[in-house]
Amino acid sequence: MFRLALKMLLNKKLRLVLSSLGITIGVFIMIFILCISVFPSTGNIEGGIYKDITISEKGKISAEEEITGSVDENIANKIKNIENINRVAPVVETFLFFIEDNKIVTQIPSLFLGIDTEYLPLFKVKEGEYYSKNDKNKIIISKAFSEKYRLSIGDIVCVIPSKTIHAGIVSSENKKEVEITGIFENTETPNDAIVFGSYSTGKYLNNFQDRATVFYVELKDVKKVEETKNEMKEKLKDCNVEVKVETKKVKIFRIFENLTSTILFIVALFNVAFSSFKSISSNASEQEKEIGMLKAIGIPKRAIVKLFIYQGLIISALGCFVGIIVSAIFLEKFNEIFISATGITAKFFALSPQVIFYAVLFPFLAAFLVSLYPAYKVTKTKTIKMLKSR
Amino acid sequence: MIELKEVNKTYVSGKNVVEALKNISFKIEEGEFVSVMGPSGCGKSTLINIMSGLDSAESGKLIINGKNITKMTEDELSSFRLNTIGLVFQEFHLFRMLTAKENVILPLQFLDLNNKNERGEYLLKKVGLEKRINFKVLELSAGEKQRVCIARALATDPKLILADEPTGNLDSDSSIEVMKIFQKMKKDNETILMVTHDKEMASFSDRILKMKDGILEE
Repeated sequence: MFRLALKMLLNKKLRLVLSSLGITIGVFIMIFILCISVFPSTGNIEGGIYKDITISEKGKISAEEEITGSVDENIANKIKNIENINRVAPVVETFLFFIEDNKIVTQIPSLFLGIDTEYLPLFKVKEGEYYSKNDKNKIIISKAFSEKYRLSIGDIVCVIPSKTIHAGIVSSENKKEVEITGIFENTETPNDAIVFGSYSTGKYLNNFQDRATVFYVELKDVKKVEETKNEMKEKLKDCNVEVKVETKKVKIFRIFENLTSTILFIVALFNVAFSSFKSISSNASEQEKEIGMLKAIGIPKRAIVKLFIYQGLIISALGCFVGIIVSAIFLEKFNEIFISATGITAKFFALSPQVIFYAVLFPFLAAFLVSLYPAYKVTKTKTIKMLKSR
Repeated sequence: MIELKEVNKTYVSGKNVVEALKNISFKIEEGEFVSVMGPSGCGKSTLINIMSGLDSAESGKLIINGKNITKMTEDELSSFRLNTIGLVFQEFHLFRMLTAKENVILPLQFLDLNNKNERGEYLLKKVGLEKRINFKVLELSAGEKQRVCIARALATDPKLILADEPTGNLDSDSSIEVMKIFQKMKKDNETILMVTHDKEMASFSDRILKMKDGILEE
């Protein structure tokens, strides 16, 4: 019966394509909704974002505390062969005071991150422009910070790393001049007083030659973070560094969680069920004569029901396969658009096995259930009438 | 083998009432080859449809192989058709995308039989299609299609073959070929009831029943 079901479908290829198209659209919508609602906020975002693992000097604190240590930037070469590592970003983290006439003008030191733009998460410059990789004295600041201290694009300001200030005395040799090239809207910053510059600018401010304060490591698979950390530790055991795991979540996706995601998920389910029903029932009505032939030669009712179920499952399998491929292509494009719009380098809308599982499970269940109705309908129709249909 | 007792069938189409079969009664013995002849619309096909259980009679008795089929349910009729009756249609009703053999063995998929493929090949050889066994129905001529249809009708080794205008879509050479196959089947003790409007084809049978306006004139 399976072979007959397949041959009957292949006999009318255009009908098969059109029937599968309905499922493809349903699967595509389902994957899309699952990707933007249920799964990205937990799995993919964390998996893609930087700071899954950081490497800093042993015993020295990184992140938003005072950073005092530094690490040889060549350690990146030692770990680049680890399979789960996608990229390693050298970063200079430091606290800066803004200086005017040898006086500190900012009450609280600004957190400076010397990181090249290709690794920058979540900041989009609204005015001016980003710094480039080769810029050694250009920074971008937040809008709130620029308003508070009346700073604007093109201003050349004097800054000094806070760790070089001893007993409130500003050492002139550590003072540096930097130009403000861009202003960004705050998105996920915990602190308005955050300043970004290139990695080279970070080294220039700290008088570093070949050193970074911290390395951000991007993982291919975040679930293997502990194994990767251990492997990394082993390779760096002679380097006097500390390897730490840090995960961060992106809040903007949280809005889709809970009620909204549940509603969207139900909408997607209905869509798949409806597409399956329409496809399979129109397929059934066009096969009236063939089914009549089977009934006429005495093929049992249960075999005809089986034939419809097989056909439904074949249409679903084809629809799911195409739907997954189309979704993968579309999501890849969507990722590119999202990355260029937000600056986030993470792969947000990746097709996880979980998404694929749901995207396949529901169309198959729907196909199975909705196949029963047209099958029931044709078994109740008079064989003579079916044989005469065109 | 077959006994019909006062079988009646009426069709209602809007305000028109058509009496397709009026008190039809006859008997056919095992191994007989009988033709029912008559002009178009005289009720021949209705008779075949009722005898095969594809349609139901309003009144009367229809006993085939000792069983009164007028009292059977849909499922019982389906099983009865599969096991006891072989149907040959004017329009062949074959699956075009399947090969000749696949069409022949289709009814066998639902019976507990060994060597289904061998049986399919044997039956196709029997109707002279040994060189067309794996040809798709699409690739066959009308005469060959009808022979595949006959082989399919014989697949489950039925007690009775019901043929509705089996030569209606065939040229004269192919029609005679089909009649020769029927005669061969008769020699193998098959019971055959054929509906036709063609005198020449009817002459191949042992007995001719004539029908006119739903009435049988033996």
